[in-house]
Amino acid sequence: MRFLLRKAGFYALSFFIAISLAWLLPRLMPGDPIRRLTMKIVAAGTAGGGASTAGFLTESQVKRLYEHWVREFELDKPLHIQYISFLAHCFTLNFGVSIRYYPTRVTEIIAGALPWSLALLIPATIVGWFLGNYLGALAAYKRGIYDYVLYPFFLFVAQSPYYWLALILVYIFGFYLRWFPLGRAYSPTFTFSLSLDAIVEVLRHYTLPFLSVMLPYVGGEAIGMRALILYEMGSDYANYCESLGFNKWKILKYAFKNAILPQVTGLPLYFAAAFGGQIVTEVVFGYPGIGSLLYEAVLGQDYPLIQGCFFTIVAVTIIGNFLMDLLYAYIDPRIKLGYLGEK
Amino acid sequence: MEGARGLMAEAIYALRSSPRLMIGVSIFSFYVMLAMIGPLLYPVDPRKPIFEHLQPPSPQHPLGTDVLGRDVFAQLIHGTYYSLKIGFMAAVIASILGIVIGGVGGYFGGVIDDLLTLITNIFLCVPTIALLVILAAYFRVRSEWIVILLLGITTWPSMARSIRSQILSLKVREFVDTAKLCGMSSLKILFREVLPNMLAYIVMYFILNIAIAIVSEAGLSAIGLGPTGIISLGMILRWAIVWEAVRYGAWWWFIPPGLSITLISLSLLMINDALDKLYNPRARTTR
Repeated sequence: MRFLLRKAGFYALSFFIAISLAWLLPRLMPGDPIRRLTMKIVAAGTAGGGASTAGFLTESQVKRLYEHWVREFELDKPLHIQYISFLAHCFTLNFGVSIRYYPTRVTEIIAGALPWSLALLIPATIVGWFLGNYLGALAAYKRGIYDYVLYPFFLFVAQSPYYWLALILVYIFGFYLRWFPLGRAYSPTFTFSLSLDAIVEVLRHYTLPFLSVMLPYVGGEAIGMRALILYEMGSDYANYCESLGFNKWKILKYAFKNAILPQVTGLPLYFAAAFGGQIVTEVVFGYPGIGSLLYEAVLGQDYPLIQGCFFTIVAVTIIGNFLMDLLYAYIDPRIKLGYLGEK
Repeated sequence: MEGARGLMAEAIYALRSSPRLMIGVSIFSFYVMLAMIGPLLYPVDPRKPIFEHLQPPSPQHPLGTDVLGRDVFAQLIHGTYYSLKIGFMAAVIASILGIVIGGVGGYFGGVIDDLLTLITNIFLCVPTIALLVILAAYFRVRSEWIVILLLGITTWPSMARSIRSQILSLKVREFVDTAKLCGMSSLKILFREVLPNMLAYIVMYFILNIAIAIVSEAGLSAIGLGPTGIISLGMILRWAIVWEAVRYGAWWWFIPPGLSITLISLSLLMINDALDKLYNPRARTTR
């Protein structure tokens, strides 16, 4: 219980500092997002309105509009007041209104994007984890030709940048074989429904981003698993079992049980890295997840949206880390003791 | 002189005894040579359009041309140079931060250690690329040095953590006690006695940091937040993505830069891994 509290306390503190950063960093940026928003409205008015008086704003009206928005986004208040109000709003998950997508609420925008991200990350992580560990163990167990083919493949796939792998996949399956569309998680005309056609459509657009997130993970997991199994198979207990005439398959089962432990702890680290690493994949594929959203928000200097996205990313990462810590402490009691004993 | 010869002999022995080190060093040297002598042997301006768009590889243009009619091989040479440079310099900054933060925390312990460990752990919790994206967007114009600095200050935490745990095991050894008895100051013991004993370890982490920084730079560049005004490997990929090289089927445009990033970081990992086996006898048992 003390272990849990300590861990939870640490994560709460990390979280607090991380979101404070998310609040602080955009404010240090040069440039004035409100001016940009005002200019956009003015430009739209002049371009669209033409002769109509409604589209044309006088200078004082523009000024009033600008001041109105500065007030609405609370940018006129002193910094510490802004900060406290931001922290207070974090508890209710209220990040205000997006500047870029004015007047849509940030929470709404994020609620629209998060499922896409998780729908990509969670299945890719789970499938990649099982496949990677299986293939890694296979390469270590069979050695010989399996190892010579699989191991370089693992290394290569694990080291290649996600988005580049994605380009190659799009090239082979989209351009060359024409099985999948080039980019986009859905067609622009697509409306979601539960019909068979809709599901096929989503799957067609989903497959390539999915593969580009999953494949590097398979490589990374397999490399780790292969090394661990080789280590376990060479250890004393494995040699002893062998001398007793155990079936090799059975020894592998023991080795696998011991080797899987570090692989479980690797999972949260990968989860954290992938949730961030996905930004690039999402932007490259035009996949409408949190990563793309953060990217747009950053480019548009949309303070509330940056805060919301960063909050979400850090929250997912930290919750993932915490859950895995719990799981790990449950699997291996030594970890718990080590953590308490250190202090 | 004697020392240098000994080092050479050791290096040759290491290369001969470890095929992995051999392969890693060969690939990495190839790219260093490409970046260094490439521009002399292949003096083509990577920015100048030659009015032949999307040419597949030919004797005049070994890797064809891009959609603006620029030579891809020339871009690759310049891109490799800047990617290596950025990766190397960022790794220098990250390693210094990692050594100082991990070393001071581990050696002195107490409140300093608690504080530094906390900072390290927080950095480890926050997704690096998300932080990088936000930081990089500050600057409308990003010189290579700004990018190097950003990569440096986001790459150090894992190294600090490892250095700290290494120090914890080293600082209870006899030679540290001897140094203390000689009346050396703590900082002097840390930097003159303890850290030199971890040199192999530090070099290995440094190599790893280069690989990480090169890959991070490529990721930033690929989404348009890399250094502005220069060509890096990630930048070539960026152009290939923006101008939809895949739609034209221009494989010669997007495959080489990505392959180079992969091979460079792979070769660095192989070197790192081989050194680990040479210096850490426990790792030798598993091939």
